[in-house]
Amino acid sequence: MGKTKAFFKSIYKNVFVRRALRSLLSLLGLSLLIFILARVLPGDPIKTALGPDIPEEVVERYREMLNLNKPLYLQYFYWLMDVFQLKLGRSLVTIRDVSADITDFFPATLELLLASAVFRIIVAFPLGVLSGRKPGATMDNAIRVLAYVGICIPTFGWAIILQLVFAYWLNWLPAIGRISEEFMGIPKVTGLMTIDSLISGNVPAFIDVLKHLLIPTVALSIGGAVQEARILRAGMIENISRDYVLNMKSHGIPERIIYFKYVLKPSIIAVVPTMGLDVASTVGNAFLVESICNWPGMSRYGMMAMLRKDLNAIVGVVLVIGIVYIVINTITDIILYAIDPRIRLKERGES
Amino acid sequence: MSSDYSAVARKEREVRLENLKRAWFRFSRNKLAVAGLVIFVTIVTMASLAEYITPYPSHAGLYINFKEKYQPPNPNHILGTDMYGRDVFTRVVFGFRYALMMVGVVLGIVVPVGTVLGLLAGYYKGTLIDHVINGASEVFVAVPPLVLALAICSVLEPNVLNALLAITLMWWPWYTRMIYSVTSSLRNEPYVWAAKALGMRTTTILFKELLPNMLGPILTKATLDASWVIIIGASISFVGLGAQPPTPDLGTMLSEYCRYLPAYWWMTLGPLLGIVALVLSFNLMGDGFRDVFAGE
Amino acid sequence: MNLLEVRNLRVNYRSYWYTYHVLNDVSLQVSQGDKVGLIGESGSGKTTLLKSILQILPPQGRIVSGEVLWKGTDLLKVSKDYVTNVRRKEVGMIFQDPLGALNPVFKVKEQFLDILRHSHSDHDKSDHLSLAEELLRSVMLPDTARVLESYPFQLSGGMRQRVIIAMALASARDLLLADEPTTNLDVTIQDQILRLIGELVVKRGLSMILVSHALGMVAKMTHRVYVMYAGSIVEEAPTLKLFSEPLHPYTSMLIESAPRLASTRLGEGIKGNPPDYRYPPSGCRFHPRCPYATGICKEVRPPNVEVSKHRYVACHMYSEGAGGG
Repeated sequence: MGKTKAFFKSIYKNVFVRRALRSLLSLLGLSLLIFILARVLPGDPIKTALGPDIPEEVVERYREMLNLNKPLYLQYFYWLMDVFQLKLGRSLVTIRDVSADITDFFPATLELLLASAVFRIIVAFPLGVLSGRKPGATMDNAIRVLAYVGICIPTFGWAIILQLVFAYWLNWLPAIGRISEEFMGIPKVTGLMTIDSLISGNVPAFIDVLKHLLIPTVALSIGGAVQEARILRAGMIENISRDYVLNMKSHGIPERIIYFKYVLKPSIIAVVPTMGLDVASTVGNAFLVESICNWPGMSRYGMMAMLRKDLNAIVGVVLVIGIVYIVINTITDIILYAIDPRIRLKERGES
Repeated sequence: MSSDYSAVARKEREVRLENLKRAWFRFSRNKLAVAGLVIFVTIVTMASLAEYITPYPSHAGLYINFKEKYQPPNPNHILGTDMYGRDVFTRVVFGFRYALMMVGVVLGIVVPVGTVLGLLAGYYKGTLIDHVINGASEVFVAVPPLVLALAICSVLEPNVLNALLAITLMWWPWYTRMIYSVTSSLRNEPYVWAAKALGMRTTTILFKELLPNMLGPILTKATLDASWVIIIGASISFVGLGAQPPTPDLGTMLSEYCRYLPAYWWMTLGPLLGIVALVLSFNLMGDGFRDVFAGE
Repeated sequence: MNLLEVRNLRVNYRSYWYTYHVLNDVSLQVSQGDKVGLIGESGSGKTTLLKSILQILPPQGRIVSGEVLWKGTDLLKVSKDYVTNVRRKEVGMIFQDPLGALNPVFKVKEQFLDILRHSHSDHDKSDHLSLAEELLRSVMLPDTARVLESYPFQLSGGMRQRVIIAMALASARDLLLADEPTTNLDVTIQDQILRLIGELVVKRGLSMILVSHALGMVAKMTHRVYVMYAGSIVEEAPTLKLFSEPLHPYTSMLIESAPRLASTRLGEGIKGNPPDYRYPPSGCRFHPRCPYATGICKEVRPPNVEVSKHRYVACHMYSEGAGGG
């Protein structure tokens, strides 16, 4: 008994768990806020969702089924009960459990998220390191201009531009969708089509999936990636005049080692929080990009729910996105914890 | 005693004015920042005089002339015409109005309110006030800003006013947190102690001692985030949860026009360029402010 | 032949807006076994001088002209490899700020071994660890295992400075540059650290340039002292002579402003401010603060005159034709 208690106590003492629990609480608060906002609005949610011509008795049946005839606090209570059973209520549009819908659509969004995280790392790190090495050089200036372009074009702007250029004009990439019809048959294992196609050993399918993935991924991450490259660059330039670099130089340590080891690590540590935050907000930007690229993911589902005022689906998607947010933030914390001794050793000392 | 203090205060005001002049000088030496300012002033002028300077002011809203539809850019229509034969350039200039109005309203609400909240939470760090304000702000940052804004809009009626509400609710915690962190680092400065020891009222300390020392960060944050407000606003109307056609809102136009890609690409180009120009100007100015105030 | 001879060194720092004219024709000599002190207010260019010798100025710094002769070879003209070799095996430098001079996110061991890998490249890899332990013991850090496995922020200021000294010793086989090695330390351990440096230098037969505000320790530890003001050497003398009978007005003010010849900080005591390096004063850079300044001081830069044997001073009071004495 004492042992279990100690175990739970130690888990609670864990910084990550504590932080995640706190975020979870905020998330519940947010769901309540949206719940209230939704009920104070004039108009009948069922009629908005199903159309004005629906017969009154059908509306009444739905109202009964969805507990809409109960007072507000009971509605929220029922919804919460559902949440604890991982059900999230029923969608007005698909007439299925929202959790079932989300389970179907989630892998596509996850795939997009992972791809965009990978893309950020591939683009941001080399660009930042290269432009920080020779400040003011052509490469550096080019990246500076690119960074401005990157932040000034919103993600949906990128999606449109990329579609226009690479799909319509150059015809290199498919504009919409996740996979071509001919490869639809690949067996579903993980739900991530890149991996599934590899598992089934179907290389042409894999290439096809990658091609579909490219436009939404780049649209989602290019602006942030260039921005992160700039932060990394600024960090490297700042660190290069620090005393510890001069100390290393005074010992005749090769520039290469100083730059790629002693300057790079603290600079990367400085960029990780921003990167985590950016990857996390990709889930938000995915709303538009998935809709534009007709990517069959959870965000597009959420977008459709929003346009149809399908309340349970909206709150469900927001809740799941909040959880994804918490997971990404926790992963960021763990990465920082792993690579920054200042955080790791300080926090161990506390508990 | 009090006359001594007012003399000190006057002196401080002079110093502040002097600093402001120096800040302006440094800002004016930054080419990119000045370019941002020029773009911004141009856009504001164009938007406020839209009726007089645009070639076809009647095209802003509902107007149909099928004879002129789908014209590519030409001397009469520098950004081409849309599916109803409306001049895209004219509509973009009118679109600036909505974007600027949005920035004005959101900043006008959040900056004063967020400043007070942030000052209070930071000054009373660790007390109930701090926990309540920060706890509330945590609720609003539990999901990505865009998701929050879209979710709020979606449960309300789709119109400009609700979009404004959504953006305001989306942005206030980020702004308040900035004020909070600056305040909680400034509250231990000697001049705050001194003011406390002199028995000055808390409101005086907050608004006359602390606030003037964070005008730089406020200006920088507000300017940089103005571009965020524009992008989120455009996103909301792009998906159809904000201003509805035929309102010449940049995001609304974009969503109407991008259905005509790729054949009539210039229609999409117009509002997109408009958004980019606005966002660029705010970013350039904001970076300029940051450099000016960081150097002090 | 001198071990190190700096001749007419000029160094600028450039920022986006301004050029700072920091070192202004600095010359200095260190012969084999010489222990030289370098004193002056904060911001007089002492650190810049040391960094210029090893060419480790931050990116904004530029050596404009002059020579740095190391064992007769001008380090500003030879190949990079030659300079690197000097940094690795001949000259070591102790930095001012013991926290800033160690990388916060690498263990002491990692940093130390990287240094030894280059300073003792002729040794076997396996020897480096025992070498590091030996060096740490020599700076009175007997718990070598714990120190090596620590990150810098886990060590106290005194321990960090000892680690830096140990690192400097790894590279210093001829000359040790000590840049205010105790400024950022607790008063109680300042003397300990300086004494340790003094002992190590003697034991290892090193030459040394010691930059310090602790005039008492400078007096004990050095043979000769250079006085620096605003990027120029204003006086050079054997240590005892300098402290008993300072010639340059600045030197007297500097010595007087030290409350006692103890290890207390200094620099507040002299009237006026150090000059603005963007627009340094014409003529003698000290003239705006000098109580004896005359017309010539504003216009002509005073030459370095040998007043008596081994005593040099750059002041018009001691130049030919000028009054005073």
